[in-house]
Amino acid sequence: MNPTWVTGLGSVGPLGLGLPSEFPAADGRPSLRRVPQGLPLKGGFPPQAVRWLDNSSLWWVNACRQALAGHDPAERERTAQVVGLGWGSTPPVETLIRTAYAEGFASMNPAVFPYSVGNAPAGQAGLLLKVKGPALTLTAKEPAGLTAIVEACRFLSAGAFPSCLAGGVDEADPLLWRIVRPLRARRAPPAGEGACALLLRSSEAPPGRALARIAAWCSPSEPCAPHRFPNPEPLCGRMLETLLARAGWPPDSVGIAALPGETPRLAEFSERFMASRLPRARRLIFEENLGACGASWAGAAILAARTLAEGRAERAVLMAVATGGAGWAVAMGAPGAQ
Amino acid sequence: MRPVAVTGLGVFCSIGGNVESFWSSLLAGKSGVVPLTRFPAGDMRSPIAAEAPEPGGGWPNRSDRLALRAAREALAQAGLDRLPGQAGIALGAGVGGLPESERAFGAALADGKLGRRGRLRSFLGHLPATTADVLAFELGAGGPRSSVTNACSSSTVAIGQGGLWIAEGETDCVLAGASDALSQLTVGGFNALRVVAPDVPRPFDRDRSGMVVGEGAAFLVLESIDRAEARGARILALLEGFGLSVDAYHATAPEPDGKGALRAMRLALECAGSSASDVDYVNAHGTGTVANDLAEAKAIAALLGDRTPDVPVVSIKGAVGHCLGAAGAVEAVASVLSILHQVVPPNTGLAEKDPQIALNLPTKALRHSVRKVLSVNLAFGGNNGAVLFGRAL
Repeated sequence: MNPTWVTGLGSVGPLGLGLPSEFPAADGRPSLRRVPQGLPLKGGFPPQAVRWLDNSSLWWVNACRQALAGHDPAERERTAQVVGLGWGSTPPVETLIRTAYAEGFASMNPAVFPYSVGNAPAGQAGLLLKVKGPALTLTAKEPAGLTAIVEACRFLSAGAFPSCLAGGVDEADPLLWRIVRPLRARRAPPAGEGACALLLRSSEAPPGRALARIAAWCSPSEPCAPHRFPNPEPLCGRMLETLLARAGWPPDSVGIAALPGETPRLAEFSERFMASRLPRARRLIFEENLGACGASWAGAAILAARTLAEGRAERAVLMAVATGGAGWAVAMGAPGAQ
Repeated sequence: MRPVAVTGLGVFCSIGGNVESFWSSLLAGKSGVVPLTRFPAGDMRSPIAAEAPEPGGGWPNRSDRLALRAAREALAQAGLDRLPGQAGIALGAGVGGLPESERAFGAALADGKLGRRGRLRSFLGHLPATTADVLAFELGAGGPRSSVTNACSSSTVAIGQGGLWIAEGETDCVLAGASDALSQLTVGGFNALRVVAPDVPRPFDRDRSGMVVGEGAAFLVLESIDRAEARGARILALLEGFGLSVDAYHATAPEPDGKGALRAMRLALECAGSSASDVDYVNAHGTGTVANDLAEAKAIAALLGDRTPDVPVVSIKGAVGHCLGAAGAVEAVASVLSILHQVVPPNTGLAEKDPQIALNLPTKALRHSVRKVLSVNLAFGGNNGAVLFGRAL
């Protein structure tokens, strides 16, 4: 498979616009991390075009705008999108249902309905940023951002398109949060919201502005009851073995790793797994700051890419597991490293 | 793309609970559109839909039950009890558990008690990815898993994605398809947009006045040709290519000249190493809305060029309604059946062709040499998808 290069980064999240190289220590343990109010997100777009835009679309468009900054605008004609959603477009859905039950279905706002479909963010990025390559939207719960990166790598490797914006987006709907909160494990990371996008390009040689190289990817699964996490040991073992074999890396060459941490049990497993299987790796903690959502694993990929680009590590692995037993993983290297 | 074998088909929708009844109803021009019974729809402008019968099965969400019913039929036809260990699942997701979660939400709004345990269960299944998890749990599959939510082109994209996984050597077997159940939100939303027909959908008709929402599920078992041949499976057809494109024109309306749709179709042919002159039949998206059918017809005519009068073009939405996320999968099954039986189904609902549309639109089942079928789906956000199926050698 051809290597895939990370050439642009963008995010909108609880830390504002863009991500720092190192996260600040999380202050306390809020149960929900929201995107701050008042960010300049609508500037530069025609007011009419963004009037009805939902938050997910607005955040995704802004994350993509950052990732594309400084790149040749002509390339957007062929740039694709692979967008991962954790729980999808629940705020517009809630708005519509609330209106329908209170005032009847005839009162539903037709301007809101198009945002109730999951692919609205990709459609809006196409419209507002003139990104005209193919678009693919996936739902995959919290690992969605990494799911999108893995699928983007597959399409890029197959030559389906030359470059791609890949990542995740979610809005933490307060109603959904009220419903899900009692079901979440005690001491689980906070939930979050936002959008994280990486501009990816496939080529044999490193392109200009390469921040990191995605050397390998895989997505095995371990079927289990829906809504439950699988036994992580065999699944993460398979993912790591596949990644290292495909990348041709020894385990002790991995400098940073992001592993499942959605529940205390998974976090404990990840600590043990790292100690035994990735002895030299430092664990990347990201959900404490970004909150767990469809964007957070793409945020982890952004952090890894920045760490590699700044020379603070040479190799990284990211491995995510979803309830229901699906897994996704990527191996990333510094742009100049083999 | 290296061609991929189609070895199993399954479908469950308003006009048939299995492949055989679906195909005979389709050829007979039967329509599944009925007055809505699944939920109260009195204040909607057009309270009709293409309702599927109850699929049975123990899972709480109708989308999951529809999916299991069609997936099991596809596996049985492929001669499999369960999916092989490393098989993938590429699902075109629609509303997921929305039919159940919207009812729970409505009840919670009425009594203010959101957190009742039964209601929490309904909300848990709300996420469209749950259906793929249910399929994996019931049928196996330890390979890649994906839930595409590209609105009305979801399952066309999922089928293409499944083919890509096999062609790229990620796995050698994929269950690809989709499931979508009727929900008040979607039926109400399309009513709010004023794009629902008052009686039946009439794709490409001069007097067409909109689409009608349908529901159903359809799946294809895709395998590498090596694997299918090694186990002696019957290869029903080949998935030869797929193409995706974005209009970048409007949130809901198609680009009027159909340029985005044309790009997706050309990419599917290019992916297969084929050309427009190879296409014997086009399964159109053909929703029955004025804007979609006109734009799509322009795209198809531009693709076919001089051959436009000779190549039959059919929308089966007059029969099955618009199954939204599952539309592409239901139509993919119909496309493969056209190759198998060398018959093109009729444009159910079409009485008088729109004079602005220069396509060959059969109104009766037509015996025809079908070696390659191009199946097209267009979606909100200008997300277009096309897949090319070819006759097995």
